[in-house]
Amino acid sequence: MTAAPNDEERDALVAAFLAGDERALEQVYRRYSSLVYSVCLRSLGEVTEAEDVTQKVFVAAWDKRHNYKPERASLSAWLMGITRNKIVDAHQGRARQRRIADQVASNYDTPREPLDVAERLIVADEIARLDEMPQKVLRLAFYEDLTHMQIAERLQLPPGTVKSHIRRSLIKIRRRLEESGDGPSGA
Amino acid sequence: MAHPAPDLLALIALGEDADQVSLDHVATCRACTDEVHTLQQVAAVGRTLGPADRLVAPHPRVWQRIASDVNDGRVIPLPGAVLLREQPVVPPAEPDPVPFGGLPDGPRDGAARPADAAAAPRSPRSRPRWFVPALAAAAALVVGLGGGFALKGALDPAPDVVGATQLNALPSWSGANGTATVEEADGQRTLVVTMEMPAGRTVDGRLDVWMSDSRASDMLLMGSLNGLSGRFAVPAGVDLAAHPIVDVSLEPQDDPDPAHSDVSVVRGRLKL
Ligand SMILES: [Zn+2]
Repeated sequence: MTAAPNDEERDALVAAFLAGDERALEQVYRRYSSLVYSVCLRSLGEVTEAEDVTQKVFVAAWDKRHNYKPERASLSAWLMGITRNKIVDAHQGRARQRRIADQVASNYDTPREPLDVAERLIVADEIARLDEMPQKVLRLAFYEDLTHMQIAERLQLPPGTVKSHIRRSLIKIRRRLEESGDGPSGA
Repeated sequence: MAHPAPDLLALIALGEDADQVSLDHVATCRACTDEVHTLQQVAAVGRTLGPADRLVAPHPRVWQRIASDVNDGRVIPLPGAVLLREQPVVPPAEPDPVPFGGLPDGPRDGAARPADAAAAPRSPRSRPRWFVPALAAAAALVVGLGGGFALKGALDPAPDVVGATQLNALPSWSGANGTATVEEADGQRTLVVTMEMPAGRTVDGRLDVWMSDSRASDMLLMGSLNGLSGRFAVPAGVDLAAHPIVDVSLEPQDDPDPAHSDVSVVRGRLKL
């Protein structure tokens, strides 16, 4: 579905990662640490804890890399699964601390569902990565609720171009969500 | 009948009106319904995004911790460090340091001094010099992660790793290695050094940590390692850019001479 070179690159990265190549861990971190960290930050609401959990996620991914089955899930879906578990652990740790401290009322927000957070962050990131014109088009469609004809008029573009931008952008975002394993159509 | 054009399905997903024939088709065609449905979900998420929905890169220290966890203390290069070297914000590095042990009759007296004396301000413009590169390192990291999107978020927390290097063994100590990091918190900088010695090699004496200029003519004694690691306050007047070399020397245990013994074990140049 995605461009072949991308897939090949990813396959090579996964192979190196599974083989225990530390450089591959560095690459995996480069690629996914923003997502993992941002999900942690949004779910836990605190930098220190988000950093701790991010660290745990990548260390666990490294230690448990033999459990990863590339044919079953994308690397990012697998990482998101680990992230989710570690966040749940962190929330349970907090709950324990609260009990120990005998706090009656919880000051903590209801924990955000990590995958819901991930989905929002991925969509936001993908929109931000769109080229200038497709991004303008999509923002007008999303946030000003304009029809493609109105957008065409506003941006002085042929309606066909606007339509095509809209479809391609939506598909791009969907693909990214699917790759992360928590998109509309699942892993 | 043929499926409507894909572009039209995307518009329908966004809630635009369409001709009745197309709408009827979508209502009865499984493939088109699925397509519209998943695109609708993307649009539904997209439409409710707020300013808080953005990716933020973690601070570089997170990678350092991971690297040291998985690697028993041997830190692999930081993501972004390479980028920083390719686009230096600071003037190009001075030539490689002259080996401490092989100085041509360099005046060593007065060169080495106790840590207290090192506090004397040496360069009043020290702060901007290494503060800027620290920001650049954060920026380079973000670029490495693929785009300026997360830039602001990455720069929000004050950068508190302001310099780092691997420490490499001098020839007669092959197998030794370590890392040196300068952290900053509340305006106080701390040099953090950890080391590993080659297997089977015992340390007969004391390991002292020094910071110096490239020519080893201005050496600051930071203190002694406790075992194989240590944390040392960097006096406020010390300009890291002028003392980028971190050197660990082996000093005879009862050596009364506060100067460098000329026996360096590991050494590295801080990347600021
Ligand atoms: Zn159809």
